[in-house]
Amino acid sequence: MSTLFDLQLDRSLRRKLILICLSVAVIVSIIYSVVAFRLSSEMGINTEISYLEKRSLFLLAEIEEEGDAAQLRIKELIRMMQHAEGDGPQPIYVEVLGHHDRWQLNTDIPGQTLDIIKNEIQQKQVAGKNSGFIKYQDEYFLWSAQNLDNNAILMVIVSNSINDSMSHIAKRLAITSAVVFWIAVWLALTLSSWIAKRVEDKNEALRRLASHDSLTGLPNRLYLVDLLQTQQKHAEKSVKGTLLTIDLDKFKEINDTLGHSAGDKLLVIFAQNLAQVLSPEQTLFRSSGDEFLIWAPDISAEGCEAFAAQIVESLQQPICMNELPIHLEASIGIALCPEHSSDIDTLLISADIAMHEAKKLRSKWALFNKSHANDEKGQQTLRYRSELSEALAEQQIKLFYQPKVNLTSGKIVAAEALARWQHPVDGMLPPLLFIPLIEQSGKVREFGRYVIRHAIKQLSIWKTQGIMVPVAVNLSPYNLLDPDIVSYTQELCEKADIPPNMLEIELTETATSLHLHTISASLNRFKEIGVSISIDDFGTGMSSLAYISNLNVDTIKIDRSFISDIETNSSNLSIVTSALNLAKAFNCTVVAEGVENLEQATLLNKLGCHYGQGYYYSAPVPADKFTALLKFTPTLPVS
Amino acid sequence: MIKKNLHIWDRLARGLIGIFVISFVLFNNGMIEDDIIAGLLIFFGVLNLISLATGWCPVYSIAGISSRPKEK
Repeated sequence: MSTLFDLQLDRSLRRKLILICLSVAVIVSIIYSVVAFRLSSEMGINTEISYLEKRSLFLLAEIEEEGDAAQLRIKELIRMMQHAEGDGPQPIYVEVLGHHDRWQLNTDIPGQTLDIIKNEIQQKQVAGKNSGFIKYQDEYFLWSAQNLDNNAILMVIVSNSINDSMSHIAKRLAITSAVVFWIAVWLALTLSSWIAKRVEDKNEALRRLASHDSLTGLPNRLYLVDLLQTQQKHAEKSVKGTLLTIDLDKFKEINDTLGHSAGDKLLVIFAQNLAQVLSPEQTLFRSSGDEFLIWAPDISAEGCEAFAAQIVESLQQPICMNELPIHLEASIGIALCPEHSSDIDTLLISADIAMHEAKKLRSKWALFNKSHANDEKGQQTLRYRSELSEALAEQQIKLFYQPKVNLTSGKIVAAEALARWQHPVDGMLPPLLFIPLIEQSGKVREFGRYVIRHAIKQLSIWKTQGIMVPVAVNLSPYNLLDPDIVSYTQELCEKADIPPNMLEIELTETATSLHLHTISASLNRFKEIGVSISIDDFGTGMSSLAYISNLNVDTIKIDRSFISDIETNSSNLSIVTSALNLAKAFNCTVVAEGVENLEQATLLNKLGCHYGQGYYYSAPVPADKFTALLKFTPTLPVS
Repeated sequence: MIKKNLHIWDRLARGLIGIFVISFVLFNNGMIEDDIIAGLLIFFGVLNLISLATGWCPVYSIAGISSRPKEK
């Protein structure tokens, strides 16, 4: 693959351009000289011929007038004409055919030549011409034959002046074409250099556009990848250095509070502050939003943590924005090259993982834990993370469906869509293995939309088959931070002609307690368009119960951990009972998760829980199997 | 201030061409016989001599190019 640095203008372009322009210059000069020479010599000859025609007509008129004395008179006139030429007597031949007499006059034209010339003139006269020129032995013979009444005259002269003027034209043309050629060459050189330079400039601009961030002017991630690849290609030893991923904490909140333009300004100032800490060998990149990268080739394993501390130290100074002092905090992930990896992508992911580790531990910075990464699970995590984009693009992540069943009638009332990764090598992967990776890699938003899109697609397929069963999708609260998620969903529903109340959104309780205020707006909008909301894994979260009323949910799903031993564990039984009471108070329906046997189902039904979901009824199955289930056993056995 | 844009070889070549052209116009032994061409040649010759003297070419500066090695 050619790298960005190879995007420089290839040197041959300039040479080719010069060559092309030079050949154009040469061709133009040649055409100019040839055409100009032809034109001017033709014009010279034509002037001479018309002059000769006039003379012969004049002589013919004299012959008419003089009658018998014509011969003498003409000879004298010709002598006078020859004298008038100046350059010595001009060879001339005159032949007169009159009704009085017939005579010829020849001065200095050899008889043999004259015969050949006269022969040719006769041929041309037959072709209908009465004047012209014949080139014979490097001499121009101009001729004119005129008739008047019964008299005819043929004049042939040898023109010296044509040869003279030809050489004169040639001489002048040589100088002119030299000047023209010179200008053309000069123009060619200038033009080709200019074009080459323009192309070079445009290339440079393109390269900059592709490899630099427009806000901060810093190079981007692509540039880093390119830089390291180029270094690796040229270096004999493996490239050494430290890669740091710096992510601003809570930048989104700053953005929301102060506005995006202030956020942008803040990023620029932050980048400038950061750049001041760096030595000339170190490079700062902006990889995305509030994430920066530092490539420090001069820092090794020993110095990297001190370097991170130095960066954190430099961020202590508050940045003044709209007269408000703002304290920025950042989490730094450190990955070493080649200790952790020499592969750039892996190195980037390693630094990213370390950064998330630092965020989780609130430790400001963290060094990538190689021993953790070295074990099989760590390697797998790294691999899966790098394959995520492809998985989403190639739709490797499938939705499986598990029925929610009415505990009294056994009727399938709804389905929960659960994501499974159909990995091309490792087979079917459970969500536990990849959902956390999606959350770490910043693909939450994309993934949320992916799930909604596929669920609506399935709903529309079922609709064409006459099946109407609501589908619940699991969304992360980060999806609800996506400002367009509701309109996106609404649009898809309209396009597929699916009523939005066929869609349900399940939120995990732990997640819901975060950003309660922000996401409640999104949830309310979802409710407004008709999508129902349920709380997943109810009872396991750390939040207070207050939010249930705040979030205005339709359904509570009691976590499987309370159901699994409900027959024997009395405390779990009381939790379930109180949850049911709570639900009744808030007018929500209750779904019990993880129903595994008939006893549990019967007990739950007796307690007043009307819906259940679990392996007792069906495991999550692919869409086609679920379709079959709906078609052939829409009512599952309850006893 | 005129910014130099000619490499030393470029400058010398132009100087030589300028001198040659002007001397050709002056001592051409009646080969030119045309005031326009003579004027044109003189003009280019003088232009080249200016380039020799200043290290600057007007057309280069219009085209925004330079044969001068980049100063770092």
